[in-house]
Amino acid sequence: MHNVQRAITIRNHQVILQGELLFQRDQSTPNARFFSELYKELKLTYPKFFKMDPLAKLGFLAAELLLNSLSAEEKEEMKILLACSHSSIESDTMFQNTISDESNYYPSPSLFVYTLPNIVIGEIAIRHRIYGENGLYLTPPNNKKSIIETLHKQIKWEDNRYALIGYLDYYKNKYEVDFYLIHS
Amino acid sequence: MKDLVLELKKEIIEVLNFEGMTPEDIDENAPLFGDGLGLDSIDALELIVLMEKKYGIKLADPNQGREIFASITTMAAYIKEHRTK
Repeated sequence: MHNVQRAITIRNHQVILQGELLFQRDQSTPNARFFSELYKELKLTYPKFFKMDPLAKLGFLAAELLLNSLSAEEKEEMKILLACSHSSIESDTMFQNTISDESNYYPSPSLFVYTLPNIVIGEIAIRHRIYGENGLYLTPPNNKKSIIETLHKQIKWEDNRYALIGYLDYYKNKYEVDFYLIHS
Repeated sequence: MKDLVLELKKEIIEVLNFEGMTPEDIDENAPLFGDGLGLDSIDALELIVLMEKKYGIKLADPNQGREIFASITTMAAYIKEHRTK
């Protein structure tokens, strides 16, 4: 894949940026704690992070590390093309649990907002003030490499100079993210 | 009052799904909306439901919310005075 300026992988509680191990925790660490410890390690002050569902947290943290070298102007017209396999099933299930008991029926608005997988793109775009076009694709897990190449080929550069492409997924406590910053 | 503030922090973490956040991460005097905890209008709905379900307080006047939900401290003070359960 050409024109890759930066790459980040987060899986198995290891953060690898540009091929170098940046942060890690023991495998026994719960995912939520791993995400919050990485957030604190990065010295971020963005409380909305804690409200995000796991998929959005994953994308948010990866984007944070990938895009922190760019100026606001460079990020403004960036395209974001991502793919995932299990959509927002974790949040869908949690939301379902809030409406399945008739005696305790309460459709939680704060859960409902994450019952779409492309919310992760919205969270990244809001954080970095990115106004370029975006899209999120669903693909089988075994198609990860192929979908990333497809996303890369789909970029039509026009005036913009950067694109964030990649794959992320969160399902049954397993997660992974591979993001690439592409320069035109 | 101190116990109520801690209880409120725990309740807010739970109802708003602040996963990974601890009560120590929340400044009880910081604004709940905008800066500070960064809550939005959807979260306001959750707080109104929390007040009713947990403390038996029904907010009839939406304008009251601005003052009551200014911070955890203001929420706790209102609950202490008006709770029915």
